[in-house]
Amino acid sequence: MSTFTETKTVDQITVTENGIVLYREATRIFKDDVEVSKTFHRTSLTPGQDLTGVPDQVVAICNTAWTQEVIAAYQAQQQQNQLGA
Amino acid sequence: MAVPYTFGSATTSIPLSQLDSNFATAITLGNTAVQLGNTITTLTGVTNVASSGSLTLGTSGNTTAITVDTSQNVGIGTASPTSKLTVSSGATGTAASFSGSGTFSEISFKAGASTTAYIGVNNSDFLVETGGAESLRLNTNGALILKGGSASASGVGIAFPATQSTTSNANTLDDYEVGTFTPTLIDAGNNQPTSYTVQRGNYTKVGNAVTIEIYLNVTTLGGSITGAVAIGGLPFAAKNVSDLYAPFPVVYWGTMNTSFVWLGGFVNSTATKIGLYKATAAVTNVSAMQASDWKNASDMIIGGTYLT
Repeated sequence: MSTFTETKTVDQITVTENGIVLYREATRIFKDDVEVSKTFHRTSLTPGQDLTGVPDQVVAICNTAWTQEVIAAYQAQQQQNQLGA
Repeated sequence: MAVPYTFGSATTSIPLSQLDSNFATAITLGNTAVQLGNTITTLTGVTNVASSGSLTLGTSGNTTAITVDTSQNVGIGTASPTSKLTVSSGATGTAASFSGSGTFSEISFKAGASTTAYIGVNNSDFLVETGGAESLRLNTNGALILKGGSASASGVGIAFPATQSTTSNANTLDDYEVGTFTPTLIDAGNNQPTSYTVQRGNYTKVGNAVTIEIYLNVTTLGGSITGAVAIGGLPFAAKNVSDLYAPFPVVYWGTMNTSFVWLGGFVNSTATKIGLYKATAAVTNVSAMQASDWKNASDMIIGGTYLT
């Protein structure tokens, strides 16, 4: 009888130049140790955002990348990019 | 002049004038028939045998199997080779077979001092190896797997690397990915509603274009979200180009706290959110949608494409 197993891992973390952290969770299903399915779920986090529920390895990167200067610069950039501002 | 020959330990010679009459038909050495025609001038290590014509090897019935022509091209299954090796199966069949006893079997190619390239098989998968590494695989499922893609990719299609290998060439497609994300309604401080009924986001990324579909249904708005609002949590950051705004029409809204004649949004440079805008009447300028335009049970469908 075949054995099915499911794994969920953060397989990609990216930090953009303005401090946004993007990460991808890959859910894989294996049949007898051979991958038969893979789905992705992506999440983006803006500097200073609440990190409740975020995977630990992503939190560690956010805490490193999000200095007060990065957070302030991001917020200033968002104000500047508002249409009609 | 005489031609020397040896049978056993005895050496003798046949006058050249008698060669045709003595050797016009095959002679037998043991159980091997040998025929020497009058075009043969030298037989020393089978060199220069075809000084005036092609060398052919055949089987019973005089069927030619291998031809070496005067340009030193070798033909197998053809008497007219057009390159150093020309193999023909004739009207049907397999022209050539290559195999090994292990899990890999390959044929190598090399031009000058370049790195050797290979084509071959790994078990039942077909492979192309260039630059010292596998660059292409066609697996038994029918998936064409580009370098870095999953070798066990399922379904018939093209499998790109799990991590994009970005190209700077405008004519090269370098990525494909589908997945989900969790959209959020946020204010400038990233505050959100207390709870949602539905937060559905799907994306398809082709090259640098990301197409998203969003359905957001707020259960309880709560009091923490205030001021201008946006939809956050997009799966990729937008391309860093100033004054470029990707348009996102709102195709449905319901149970809002305000009546609108138009709703829409845009994604600006480097952002991972859609800024929302509204018109409540015929106006010359739209304005930012506010948290106060939402209430409990408000919902919205929005979608579009932006560049990364």
